Amino acid sequence: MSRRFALTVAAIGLVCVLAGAQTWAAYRDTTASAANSFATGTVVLADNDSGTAMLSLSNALPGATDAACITVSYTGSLASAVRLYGTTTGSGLDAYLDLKITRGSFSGAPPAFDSCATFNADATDYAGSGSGVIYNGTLAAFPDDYAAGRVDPLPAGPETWTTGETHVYKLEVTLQNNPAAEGKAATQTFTWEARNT
Amino acid sequence: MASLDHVPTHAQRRRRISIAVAVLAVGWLLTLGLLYVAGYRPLVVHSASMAPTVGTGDLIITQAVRPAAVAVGDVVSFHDRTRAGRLVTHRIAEIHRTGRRIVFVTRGDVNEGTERWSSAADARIGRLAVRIPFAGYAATWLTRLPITLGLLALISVLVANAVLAARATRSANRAVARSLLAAMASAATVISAPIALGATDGAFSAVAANAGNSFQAANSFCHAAPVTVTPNADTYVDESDKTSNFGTQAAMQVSSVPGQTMRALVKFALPTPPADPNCSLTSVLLRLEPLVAFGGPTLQAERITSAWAETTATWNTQPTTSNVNIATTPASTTTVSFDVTAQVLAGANNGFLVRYSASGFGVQAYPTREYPQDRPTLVLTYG
Repeated sequence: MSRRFALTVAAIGLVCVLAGAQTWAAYRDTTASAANSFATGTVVLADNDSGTAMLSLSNALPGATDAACITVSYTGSLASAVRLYGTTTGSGLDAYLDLKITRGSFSGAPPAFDSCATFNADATDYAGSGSGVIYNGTLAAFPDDYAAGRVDPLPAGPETWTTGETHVYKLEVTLQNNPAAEGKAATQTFTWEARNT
Repeated sequence: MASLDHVPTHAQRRRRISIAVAVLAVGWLLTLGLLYVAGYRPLVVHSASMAPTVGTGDLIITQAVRPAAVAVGDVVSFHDRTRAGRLVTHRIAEIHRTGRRIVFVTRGDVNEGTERWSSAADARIGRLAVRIPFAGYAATWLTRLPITLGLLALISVLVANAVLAARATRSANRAVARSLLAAMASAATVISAPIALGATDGAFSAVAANAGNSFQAANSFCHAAPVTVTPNADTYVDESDKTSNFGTQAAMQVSSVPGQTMRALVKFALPTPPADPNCSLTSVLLRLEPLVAFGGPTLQAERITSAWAETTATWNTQPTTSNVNIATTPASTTTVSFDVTAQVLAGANNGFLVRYSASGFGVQAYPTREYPQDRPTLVLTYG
């Protein structure tokens, strides 16, 4: 009787082990799959501005505009998602500045920093504002942190950047014809941020 | 030397082992439970975004605390919604209170980017309490599925063996009960470890920024309203009547039929620019109203570069024009509008010559200044 009982206990134990295996594996997959991997690698993003601002308007009148191009390159080893956002300071001119950002590339040798000579916009109409355009609105409405940032190129189809990937961004700013903008100023930082996916 | 009476039998040794295993297992579970209730969580660190403070493979234990209890410089664990809600452990760089929520700005020590997230003031967040270097590697290995299953299988076999060994004793049922208790406690211990063990994920970031873009609007914009002027001279010339002048006609005609070409001439007295030094000419439109609906062919306005008079101009004496900045527009049943801004800025005191761009089109007539209505206009906009 005891032998039969012992064998039953052992069998029940093994059955429980095997039956629990599937459930346990599912649990690990859905809640802690990342726990099985230790990440090693880098996330590195750079631009070609050498610390020089790309846009400027001084004593600007309505219709005044400036445009410049910047090259952003990814050399990290981990695949990353890139978002574009910015921070603004000043006395409120950002509400009267129209900003248009177009993604593309240079045909042939890239020109010196901030020149848009040989710039070609991406063919895709990302945001319904024309080929390559990823933002078209006021500077005030431009996202100011990563969480709200402009997914590159679109929230619906975010692009994963891999090492060696490079894109050129053309930024154009135009002062609106609005007397409320008189005497106002703004200072802007444009930020591209990469986070490993 | 101890007497044989004090040497424990196999049954006694098994009983002591069973009790010891059960005590240790229950002790482990109680400790784990108490730590859990107290808000402590073990986490395996998966990346070096906080190196060297916390490194890859470390085991950290966080303590759940009120948001108000943490300070800038503390290392906290939070679910980052920009990373699909994964648990991330980074250092607090800024703290702001917004209503009933507390906003945190955090950053990995090796990262360039920051995270901005918030927590309800009465919620709890995990603050780094203990770090055990490299223990995360061992904990991860021990909680792998094959290891867990192997330990559970081993426990089952040991229980079976213990039950078999207890068969000969008089207190078989008590021995079996002790073995099962030890087995259940051991199994619970083995299973509890991977359940209790969490992970904090890799969260690297890098930033490329262009700073210092400055924009300054003028202190005063141009407030001058647009100005509309009518011609001070207009007529047309006719190739089929090369010496006649039509300066008093109420309509000027345009045609490109070979041998019967007609061209309109129109001139305006340009207004004095606004005195406001902030004003400059931004747009000039030449507008003609067709007398009869007529669509299709393209018209062009050329800047006249020599003097002419309304009452003397003929086909043979028609003025010269510039082929630079020629404004074109399709003929229309409604207003024909040419953007002649560049021509005016280049000097259009002699007015414009209007004709078809291509040959073969019949007569189209436009009112002149002698006509009571729909006269040509020049609209100047300043900005």
